[in-house]
Amino acid sequence: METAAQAPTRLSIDVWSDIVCPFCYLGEHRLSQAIARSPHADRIDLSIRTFQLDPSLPASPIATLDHLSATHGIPAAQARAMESGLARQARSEGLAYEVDRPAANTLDMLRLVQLGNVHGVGWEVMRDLQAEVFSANPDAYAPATLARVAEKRGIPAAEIRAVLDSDKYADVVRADHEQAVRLGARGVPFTVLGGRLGIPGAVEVDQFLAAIDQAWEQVNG
Amino acid sequence: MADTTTEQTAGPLQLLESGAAGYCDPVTGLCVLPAAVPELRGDPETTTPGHAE
Repeated sequence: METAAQAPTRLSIDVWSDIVCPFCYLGEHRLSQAIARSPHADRIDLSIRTFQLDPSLPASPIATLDHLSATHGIPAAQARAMESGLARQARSEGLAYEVDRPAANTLDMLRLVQLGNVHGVGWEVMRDLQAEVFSANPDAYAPATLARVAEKRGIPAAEIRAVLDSDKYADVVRADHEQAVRLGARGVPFTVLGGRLGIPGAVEVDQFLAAIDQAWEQVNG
Repeated sequence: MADTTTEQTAGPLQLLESGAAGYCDPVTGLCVLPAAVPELRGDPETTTPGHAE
């Protein structure tokens, strides 16, 4: 019989992200690769946390490039050049990334991610919603799309409707944001390993892998 | 979801800073590009607008 002393040790990894954050999309992908390569892969508990970057974005989608250009007062061509660089990087790592994609308020999506967490599929819901946005689905933010994504991950339709028809989990989204700030996050992605190591930003796969080893030793060594 | 971050925290968080990590800052509204990867930059600056105000 397995005793407490023999029980396999584990490592928690928490990642704070937003749907529309390019580096979150990229960083989660790199972290997934690092976990897959880690000898501790089957003893890692990966959790997605939410961090709404821009609550001022409108509910109805607008063009991401127009938003960037207008908000920051830069020419459209400059915004496109910057986004194109990110697109090249993302595509080189195997991710779909369209420069001409919609941007809108992500609160409903993040509340749905929190519902996903209740069902143990928050990470998957986050990744699926990001894929809808970054592949430039014009209906990425539509309630029907959100419902389809969540249902595909096994969340009951009635629970999805109950969330989308209310402000349920908005308090959890706020609490996640506040916790990230308390932990020292200046932005996202923000990754915390074992509650001890914090990684700001989308570091390379090898850096995530080294951090996993370091945190594993600290927590379980 | 269980708050595993709190559960495994034994003290202050150690931040592992990397000059090559891009991230999006909600205060400035900028997505800060990796300084070590100049081809990602669209201009001589090291930042690009993100999605915050």
